[in-house]
Order: sequence, then structure tokens, then C-alpha cells
Amino acid sequence: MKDDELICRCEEITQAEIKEAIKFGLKTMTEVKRFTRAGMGLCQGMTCGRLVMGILARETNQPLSEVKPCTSRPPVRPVPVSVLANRVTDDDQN
Amino acid sequence: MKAGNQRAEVVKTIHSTEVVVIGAGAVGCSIAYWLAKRGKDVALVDRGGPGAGTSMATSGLVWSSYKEPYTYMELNLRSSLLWPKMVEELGEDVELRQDRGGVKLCLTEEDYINLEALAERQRRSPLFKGRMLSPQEVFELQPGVSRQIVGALWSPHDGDANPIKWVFALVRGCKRLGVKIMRDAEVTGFDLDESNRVKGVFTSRGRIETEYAVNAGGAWAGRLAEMVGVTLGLYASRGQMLVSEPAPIVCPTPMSILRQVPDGHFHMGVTYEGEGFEASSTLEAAEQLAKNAIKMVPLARNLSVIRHFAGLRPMPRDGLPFLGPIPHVPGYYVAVSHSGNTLSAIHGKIISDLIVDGHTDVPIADYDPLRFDERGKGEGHL
Amino acid sequence: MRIEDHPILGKAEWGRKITLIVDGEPIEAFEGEPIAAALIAAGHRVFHYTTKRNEPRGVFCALGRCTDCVMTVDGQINVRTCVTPARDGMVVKTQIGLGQWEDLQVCGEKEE
Repeated sequence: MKDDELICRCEEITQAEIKEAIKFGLKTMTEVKRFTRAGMGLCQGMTCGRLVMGILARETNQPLSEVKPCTSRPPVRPVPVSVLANRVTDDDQN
Repeated sequence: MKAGNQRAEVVKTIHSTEVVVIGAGAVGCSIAYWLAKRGKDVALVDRGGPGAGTSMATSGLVWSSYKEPYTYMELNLRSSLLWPKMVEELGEDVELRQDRGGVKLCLTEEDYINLEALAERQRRSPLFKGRMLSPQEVFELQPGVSRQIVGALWSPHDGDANPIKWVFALVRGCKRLGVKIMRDAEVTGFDLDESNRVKGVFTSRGRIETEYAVNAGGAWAGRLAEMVGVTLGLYASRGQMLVSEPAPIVCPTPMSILRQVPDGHFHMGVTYEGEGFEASSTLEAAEQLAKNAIKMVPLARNLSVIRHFAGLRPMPRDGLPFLGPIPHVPGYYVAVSHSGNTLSAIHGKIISDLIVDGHTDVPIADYDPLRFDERGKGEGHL
Repeated sequence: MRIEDHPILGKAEWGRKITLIVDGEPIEAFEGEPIAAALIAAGHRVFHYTTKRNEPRGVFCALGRCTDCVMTVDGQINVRTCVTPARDGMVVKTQIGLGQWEDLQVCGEKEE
């Protein structure tokens, strides 16, 4: 894959930028994400996640199995603010 | 030797320096940067990588107006004024927004009355330029805001920035000035001589010989202080925030609690939860944050939340910073506070002033690190 | 361009014909099919332009994960057209970057 290839399509981050983060001294998926913004866009790393893990594994000479993914956070899929705000519980008095 | 220290003879000394700064967050990186600027040889140490604590799990306000007492507001204000100077020096864009001031919304009459009274108290400081805005004035600054609001507290000195870019800009500045950045080095103890003076720091990677050690450990600073027998008096408070999908800019003015960043995402904050929590996200908080967001910016109701994150922030028991030396442990300095993003700029100046010159022109008498310790007053400012 | 007869899925069965307004122009669609399917059948390829580089994006993953196919639909920004069913009269716009505030206002302030 060439260095000008887009890895994170949402934030438009190239492979070169991922490698730059690693050269900077960053070692984990979370750190690379913070530095490059790869994984912070609309799809939240669904598309680029595995690709970045692969680059990280190759560039730091780690087996892919050793590369931990980013911290898992809700929601699994985008949820409208109105849906969260109108959540009905057993103790709802409305 | 204190508990937590290993014997120097059995541990390998891997590096020798003048100052070890512990914690590569916004505060630690700023301190390392200022010390290096003042000609000190510095090692910046972290148990992980840069910004792994609160610094990259926060929204990024650079704010002072509502912080009390007014002397603390002044500290934040002075730090906010230092930010653009540092940004220019560092030569990077950290998305600092200060040109429109910052807005704190009043959703009810009671909010308005309370903030108006707060503004009056803050006017004890000649530096304070905040004032209350009418709803119309708020709409001009912030078109996306709810038409139900009652007004806002506005200050020209309030603003925000990208805290992640800030930390990386500081790290790059540190690297340029020759700071040795040691990641994955967890501090396990301090090497003190017979007169209790710092002579080294023990880490998971080995011992670092040093004259000075700065505890910039943030939410985890308590542990680092216990290692030299000092009780700081702080706890880690959880904060949660919702991040929305990127949207067209309808809120260009920095705002506390809910803000739209230049990229278009809304940061819908924020909870202040007691002590003893893990940095995990709860559904109850999501519901509350979503409700609050809609009250402030109704347009948000149709935006989707794409991430719900949590972080731990340092909460001194009286809300005020711990800044300064520990006299009975010569060489050991503390720089820990709430509002670390805003204050990181001035903490850098204060600690470098103290270590290089022995004093600082910034008033820090209220921020004695020993004020909760039995050697100090023991009650802080409660 | 539609697949009328698939070697495995068999003959196509669509719902009733409806109209979508895409960038002001009417296009034909079938009720319930993904908006993206109707657009591709009508020869529409560019769905949005990216925020940073202003580059065109169309269908990429086609299963609702990648967000390449997002468009502004009935005022809602960032709608994944590959998994959103088409309804009669939907107003679909090629989204430029973050989208337009005017569209957000259409669906945002209704309940105030």
C-alpha cells in the first residue's frame, strides 16, 4: 500500500500520517488515534481500525495479536440525542 | 529510606538529569517545556504515553470566569492570557479560540441571578471583564442556542482549544528543547538522601538520578505524594461526555458544558461524579447529558451521538491547586490541580520560576501542597 | 442499471414506484429499497464531498459501516443512504462537507 493511500476515510488520514505517529514514539492504537484522528470520524474506526492495527503491527514489529484495539466505548452505532434523552425507565414519572 | 523506595545499590541507574517531571499530561509537558526553556536538563516521565490521563479525556476549555474565589479566577485568567503566547512559540495550530470570548448559559431565572451574583464577586479583581448578556446578545454570538434561554455570563477572556493538539504541540516543543521523554516508565518510589533530599526517582525502567522531582501526576498525584509520606488531599472524579456526529457550525462561540468544536462535533458534557469510579460510561449519564444538550441547543436533538467517553479528573478537596515545594523533602515539587488544561500554561511558568529562581511572581500562597497534610494546617481551605 | 434476474436471488420483486427529489431533480425509485440503490440505478455516483479535501465519495462498503454514502435526507445530515429505505417525496441532497445549517433547522426546531 502506498503512503498516500487513505486509511481513515472519514477523517481523510493517509498511511504516511499513521507512520508519522509511530515515528513520533506512539505505540498503541489509542495513541495513534489521538495523534492522527484516525478513528474519530463518523464511522468511529469501523473501516480503518483493522488497517491501523496492521500498520502498527508491521511498523513496530509486533504480531497483530499483540496490538490492542482502542478503548471500547458506547454507542455501538450512532444513536440520536433525542433517543437518549427520552429513555424511559421503570421509575419514570412522566 | 521511605516505603515504596528500593535500595539504590540494587537498581540500575539508567539516566542522569537535573529535573524529573512525572506525568506527561498538559501540566507535566508544560512544566518540562518551561524548565527546558530556562536551561534545565529535564526528563519527562510517564507510566504510559503522552496525555494518557485527564488531558486527552477532556473537552478543552481555557476558562476562568466562573471559577471561585476571585483569586483562583485570576490564576486561570492569567493562564488563559499565557496560552496564545505559548501557542505562538510552539508554532502549531491547537484550535485555540479566544476571539469571541466564552459564554456560560443561563437556562432559568435562578441561573441568571446566581451567575450575576458570581460576576459581582469576581469584580473584586480588576482583571475580571465578564458581564451578563441578554438573550438577544447571546443569539448574536451563538445562533444555534435555544430561544428559551434567559441570558448568559460572558467573558472576553474565556475560550477553548483542542487539548490533544495542545499536549502534542507541547511534546514537540519539549523534544526541540532536548527534554528526554521516557514513556512506559512508572514511578515506584523516590531515592532520598540522609537529609531527606531528592537524589533520584525509581521507575519501572530503572533509576533516574536527579536533583529535582516534580509531581504532575494529576488524578494519580496522591499516590506519588504518599511515596514521600505526604498527604495531598485530592480524589479522582469521573466526568462523562457525549460526542456528536460532525454538524454544520451553528455554535461558533466557545461555551462551557456544551460546545461545538471547529470540526463540527458537539461535545455534550459533563458529569461530576464522586470518588472511586472507573472511567466507564453509564447510560444514566448519557440520558442526562442528552437532555441538557437539547435544553441548550435544540438542534442537537436530531444529531447522533457517535461516542460516549469518560475520564478521571483530579479534584482537590477544596477545589484549589497544589503548587510548590515540599520543604521537608527538598527537591520535591508538586503541581496538581483541577482545570489542568487551562492552568497548564501558568503551572509551567510557576514551577520553572520556583526551581530556577527560588520564587515566583504569581501568587501561590493559597496553594500550599501541605495544607491537608498533618505537617500543614490539615484542613485545606474547607 | 438494475439487476432484474439474479443467478441466486432470482427475479427482482420491487414495491410501488415512488419519486425522490435528488438535488432538485426527480428520480424514480421503488418504495423501501435503499436510497443508494435508487441513486445508482439513476446513474448517480457522487453522494457527498469530504470536509477536508473536498473529494467525492460514493458507495463503499454498502452495509452501513463506512459512511462514504452519506447524504442529507429531508434535512437530516449524514444519512447512510445504503441502509436507509426510500420513501415517496424524500428530499435528497449531495452533502458538501458538514452539510447546511438550513437543513438542520428544518428538522431541528420543529418541536420547540
